[in-house]
Amino acid sequence: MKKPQRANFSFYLAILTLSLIVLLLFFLSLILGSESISLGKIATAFKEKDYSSFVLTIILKIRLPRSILALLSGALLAASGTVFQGYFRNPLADPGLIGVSAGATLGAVIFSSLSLFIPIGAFFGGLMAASFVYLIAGGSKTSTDSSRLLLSGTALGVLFAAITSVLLILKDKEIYKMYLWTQGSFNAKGWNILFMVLFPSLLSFFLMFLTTKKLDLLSFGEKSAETLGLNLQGTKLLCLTSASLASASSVCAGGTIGFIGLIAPHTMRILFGSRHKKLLPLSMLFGSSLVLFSDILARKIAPPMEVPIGIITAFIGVPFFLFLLRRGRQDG
Amino acid sequence: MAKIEVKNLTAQYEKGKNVLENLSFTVEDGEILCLIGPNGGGKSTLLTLLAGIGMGKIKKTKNSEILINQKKIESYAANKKAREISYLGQTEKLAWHFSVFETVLMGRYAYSSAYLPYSKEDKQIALSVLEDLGIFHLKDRLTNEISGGELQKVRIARSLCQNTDIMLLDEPFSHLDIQHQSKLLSLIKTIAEEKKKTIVISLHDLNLCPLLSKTILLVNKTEAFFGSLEEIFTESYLNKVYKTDFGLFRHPELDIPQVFVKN
Repeated sequence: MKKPQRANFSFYLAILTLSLIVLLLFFLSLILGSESISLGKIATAFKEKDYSSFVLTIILKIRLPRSILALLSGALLAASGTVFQGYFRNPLADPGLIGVSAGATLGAVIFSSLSLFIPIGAFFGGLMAASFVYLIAGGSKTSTDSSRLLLSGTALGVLFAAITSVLLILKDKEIYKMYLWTQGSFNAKGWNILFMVLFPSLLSFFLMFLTTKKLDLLSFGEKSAETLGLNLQGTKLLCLTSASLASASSVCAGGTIGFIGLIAPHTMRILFGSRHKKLLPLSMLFGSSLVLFSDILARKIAPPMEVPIGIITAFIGVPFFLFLLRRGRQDG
Repeated sequence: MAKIEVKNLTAQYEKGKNVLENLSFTVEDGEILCLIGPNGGGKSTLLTLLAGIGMGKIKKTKNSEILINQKKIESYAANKKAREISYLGQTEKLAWHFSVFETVLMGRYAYSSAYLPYSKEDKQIALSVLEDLGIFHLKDRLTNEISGGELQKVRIARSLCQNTDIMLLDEPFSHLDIQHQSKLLSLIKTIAEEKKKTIVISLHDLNLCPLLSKTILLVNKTEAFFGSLEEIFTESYLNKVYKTDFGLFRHPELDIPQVFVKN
């Protein structure tokens, strides 16, 4: 039996441990790469204050924003996964699997081809996809129905991806840049991208933290949640908007990276229970470490070539996904 | 004083197909009303309507009225309603499992801020309800680690945490064995007497009805009969609505009517 005090203690311990892991990986992400830079070199460069030096250029202009983006994007993916899973009452509701990431990509591509502000396009694309999924698989009776959620999500995802491809082909000059972007990679992502996604990301985190108590109630089903005093319409709006904004921001930060939103919340739920106010921060930290780790691997597997990070998360995520699917919904 | 007043209630899931028709009745403050009738006869639908939930799927016709404390049910905001009416559905499919204490504490949602943690007072109330129902020892167990009977008690505890005057119970005895049934029965009676709750309870087992209540609503889709136990709990009404040949006898010890099936 878990005593509440002990449960709280293990929560804070987990937060601390995961934060240290994130810090360590962040640090490694700065020094490791196709060109590994030793600590000594960095120290000397800082001492000499030569900001145009090779070492500091790599660190400050390339790896620092890249690492922050990876960290941010992991937290975004994990948090949006947590909220989507809680809202759809389904452990398989990952922004990639239910088509929200594909919707956000489509929105971003449309806005980019019209020379409009990309994150807004990504947000509306993601929100549109989430609303479609809600319409097809939502409602109190069917929302825990995995097959319906996954089938509709996958079908919509394929459709969005197809439209995205058509748009990219029509805009053939930009195709390679955009193609790389949709594949999911932090390669050549700099400060400009970070500044672009920082505000929407922080806003989405804030909004998602407002959903935690509501998501707890929703675990009993919409009917019971409503009798306990939950405003269903408001909750739907808050959950779908905040999680779509997070998915969209993560798509802008690093393209489509699969499975983080699936693995992070689920693992944390098994280890630390289902209360969303604990689950959300834990998942965010775990998601950040997963993406930072995958991004380091992406650089180190075949240097100087870079493997798209989505491929690495797929290698970790697909077995996990199959395991979950097999276990069905009997688990907690 | 009438706690619940239903006037000309007609409801439908699809247009033109009435599930309930022109239903009118009142439940007085502190009274228990038993809801009986065949499966699919609209008992659960009626309870859902009284709870004012699931409005996306079921529609009331325009002149239908449900008044709670003389106020239209639609005029209550979600959290105000949850302080007046608690509702316990037949089953609940839990997406994830919380501890018994956490589950019961969520009964305080309507009293707490939607964004801040539950207060100390809320936690005290949840703990004392657990104690009242004799399930304090389960408080740290997860809801998938306890028996069906215990889970039912946990759900009732969660409803009690809402501290409502009105409790709506949809077949709370289904899926329970006879021992748990009788325990739950006396629990509901105690709650009704000690806390002066107004209770509407739907029942599958007709013989539990006289044990709990003196007022009955017998409902089967568009036909409904409302009245005292003596008026409604008779062979003629029951045979007509259930289309079964019932016999009636007085319970030798409790002196209340009981039914049996003749053939």
